[in-house]
Amino acid sequence: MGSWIIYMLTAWFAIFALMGWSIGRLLSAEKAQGS
Amino acid sequence: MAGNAVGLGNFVRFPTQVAQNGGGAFMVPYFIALFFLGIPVMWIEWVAGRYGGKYGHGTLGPTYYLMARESVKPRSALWWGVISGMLAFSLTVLLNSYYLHLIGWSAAYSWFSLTGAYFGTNTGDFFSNYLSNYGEIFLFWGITVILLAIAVGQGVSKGIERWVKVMMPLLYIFAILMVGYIFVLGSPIDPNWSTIDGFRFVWSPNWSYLSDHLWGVMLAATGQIFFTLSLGMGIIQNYASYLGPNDDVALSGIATVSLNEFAEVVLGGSIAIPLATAYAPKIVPPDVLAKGKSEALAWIGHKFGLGFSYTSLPNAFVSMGDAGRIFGFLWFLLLWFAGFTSAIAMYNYLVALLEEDLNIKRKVGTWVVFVIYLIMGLPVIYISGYMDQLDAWVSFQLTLLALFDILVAVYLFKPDNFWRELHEGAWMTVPGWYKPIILYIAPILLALPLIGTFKSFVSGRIGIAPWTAIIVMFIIGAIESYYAIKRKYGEELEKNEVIVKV
Repeated sequence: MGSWIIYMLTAWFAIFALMGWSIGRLLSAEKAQGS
Repeated sequence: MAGNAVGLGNFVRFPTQVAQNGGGAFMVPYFIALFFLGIPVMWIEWVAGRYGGKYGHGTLGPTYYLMARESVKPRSALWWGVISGMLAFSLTVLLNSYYLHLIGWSAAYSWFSLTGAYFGTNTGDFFSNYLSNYGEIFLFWGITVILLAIAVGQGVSKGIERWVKVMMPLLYIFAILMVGYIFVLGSPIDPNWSTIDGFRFVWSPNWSYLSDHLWGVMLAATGQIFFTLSLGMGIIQNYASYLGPNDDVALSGIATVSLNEFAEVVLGGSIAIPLATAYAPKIVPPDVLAKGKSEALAWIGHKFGLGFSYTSLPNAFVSMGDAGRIFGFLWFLLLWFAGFTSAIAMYNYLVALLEEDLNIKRKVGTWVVFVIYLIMGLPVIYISGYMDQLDAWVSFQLTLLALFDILVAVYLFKPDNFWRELHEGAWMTVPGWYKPIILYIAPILLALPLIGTFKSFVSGRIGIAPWTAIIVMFIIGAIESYYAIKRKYGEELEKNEVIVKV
């Protein structure tokens, strides 16, 4: 596997992780505020 | 907010910038800019907007006057407010003078897909012919600007927001389907040119290109981060000014960035460039093809500029046969809608500016902006190269305004005040190590490409027509900001001491 594929997948994973973490936390904070 | 952030920046401007700036060479400063500039400046603009909102301001001039007042006397703060307001006003007008054309192109290509107009043609030649057909360009652009004015003037922005909740997820789904299709498309016309080569171009760091063109690539990457995140233009501050004093800005800022980056890097980076690579033998002259893939993609990027995506994407729809007509129609329609919603936010900023700062009624303000957009958009149609030259300048000015964000909303507002404001009502704690990044690293990373590329701008990189537009907008923006601050804080400025304090 070319190193560029590892670089691409790492970047994609980092963006997914940031998106999952921030959106998940935002939704749970909104839920907690609503209840 | 995410609906505003996701737009043509992701699917049109990003691939163009990557192709023009050495592929993988661009991605290195791009990620540096995202981490060290995009995220901090997003926080700064949310904080500044919410702070301005406490005083009833949604525009940059008065907001930055108030923030600068924390460190300097009102008469000195006035100039910080005037320059910041001038940069935000002129940037929004200059950017929209060509951004609305990109939206018009999307409308045109939606129609061209449905009618099969580009099927069986060289998509590069088809695009060039379209650009030389002034009547067609004027029609699709004119319809877009009129619809925008009606949407903003009639106050139907809220109704459009409801559509955003349907259309934006649909755009994500379509884009994911497109990426899947591109992965399996392989080499549609020449076994030596595949979509996978396009991914390799984006994700192989090209260090020699980067070192040879360091400042230019750095400015392009930094400008793209601000463009795509709607930073450096006053839009985020305007949006955040409607927040309550205890509403979160820290986590919301990160969420906005991550959603946009998913659309840009994962989706936007996997569509136009792989397609342009696979179909390059159809568009690029043989002598350029012989030089290699990077050269071929750079050629498309420079030859068609922001038309890069409009020359590459249609080939995918053609390869789908008749189904491609419907798919292409929907894709460009969704793209048109994404651009349209972003344009509403910018239009609203200008109308708010006229309404709040100059007491001009909303309906009148809407048509004033409409006329400004029409006048400023005309040179894009009739002057060759105008759009891409102005776009290069926009990268410079976005970076310059971001530097002002840090100077005013952090340094003059005082770093401790900023940090406290950032954590007011925050749903996350920003790591302490981000403080030195904001205070020291970010200003250096902003100043370096500005210094490194300034000479190129004054020595012929952009022509007399874009310069005229820039200078005229600077003058109008400066007068507007000066008048707005003076009108609301005239007494303070006369006495040169702070009177109004919330």
